[in-house]
Amino acid sequence: MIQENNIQELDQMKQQLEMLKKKLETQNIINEKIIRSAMKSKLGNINRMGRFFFIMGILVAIWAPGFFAYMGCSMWFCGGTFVMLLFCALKTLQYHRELWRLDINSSNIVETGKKVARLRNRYKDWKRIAYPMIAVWLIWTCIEIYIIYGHDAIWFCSGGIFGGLIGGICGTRMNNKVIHTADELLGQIKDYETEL
Amino acid sequence: MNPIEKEFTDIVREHKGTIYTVCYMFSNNSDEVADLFQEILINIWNGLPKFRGESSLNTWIWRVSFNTCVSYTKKNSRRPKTSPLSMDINLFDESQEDVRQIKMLQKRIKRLGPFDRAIVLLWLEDMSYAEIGEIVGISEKNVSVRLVRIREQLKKMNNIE
Repeated sequence: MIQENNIQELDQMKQQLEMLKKKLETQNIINEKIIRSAMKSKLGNINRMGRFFFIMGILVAIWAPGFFAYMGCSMWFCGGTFVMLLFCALKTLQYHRELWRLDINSSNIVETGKKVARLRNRYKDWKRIAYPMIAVWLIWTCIEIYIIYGHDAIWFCSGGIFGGLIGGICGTRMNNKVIHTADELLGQIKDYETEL
Repeated sequence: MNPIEKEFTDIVREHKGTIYTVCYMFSNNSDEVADLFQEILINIWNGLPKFRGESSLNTWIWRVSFNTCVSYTKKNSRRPKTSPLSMDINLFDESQEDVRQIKMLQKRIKRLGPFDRAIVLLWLEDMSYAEIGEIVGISEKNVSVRLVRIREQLKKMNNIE
């Protein structure tokens, strides 16, 4: 009788061990804390960049129309410049809002990945809007300056175009930096999903 | 990835279930499992260059896992860790039937002493007394004597339950 009990017990334990093994077979080894801490730093960089773009956009939107009005540019141009800069700032806010609200310690890593991927794609698409917009604005600026200064406008326009180009290059570099950081972040999330 | 890293990765991938099972049977919560899991992986990594193949790899993995867990249990101290490795599974949540069964197994095994836990786990793996003895470092005869005692203990547990 004792022997029977022992065998039953043993069989049950063996079955339980089999259940455990079966469950473990499909498991991946993860190091979530490392991934979260690396993500935190990269996400911090992206968020800082977003805040910088937003604040600069708002400040320049307030300052630039007044400056152009002082130079004697038309109200249409000043208004257009204000709307363009405000549009840029609000677009930045829209792009970054969901990542600003994110708590990386408690959020789902895969969901975070989707949000980062969305931000990355928006930044890529943004170039398609920004370049033509800046080109149109630069041409409009040259026309406005020509109207005010006549033939002397060439010096202002050259300076404006040079400044615009430098600004464009800096903006593109910062945009690429956000895309690059987002790519690194997405790579880490992919690693998280991949078995060791 | 250099050849040793590759070998290590393959070993961990192949034996992760064994390692996790041992950790689970020696732990009280998922944090402890993660700590032990990492500790074993570190010991495997450190010991791999010295492993000469005198015993089978499986035997060596079991031995490293048990030695790590037994010494961890004896010391009952936790080394400060920055980021433990673990598996994305929580066997301490008893909401599913299979997890309840697994937890029952753990409760039974955990009532035994650390050394007996190792023996009974190997016994459940259908290993021979000689293999068990080789892993835990005792004679075949000693294994059989201990197993008789363990059976008695399990029988008593069953009666109490």
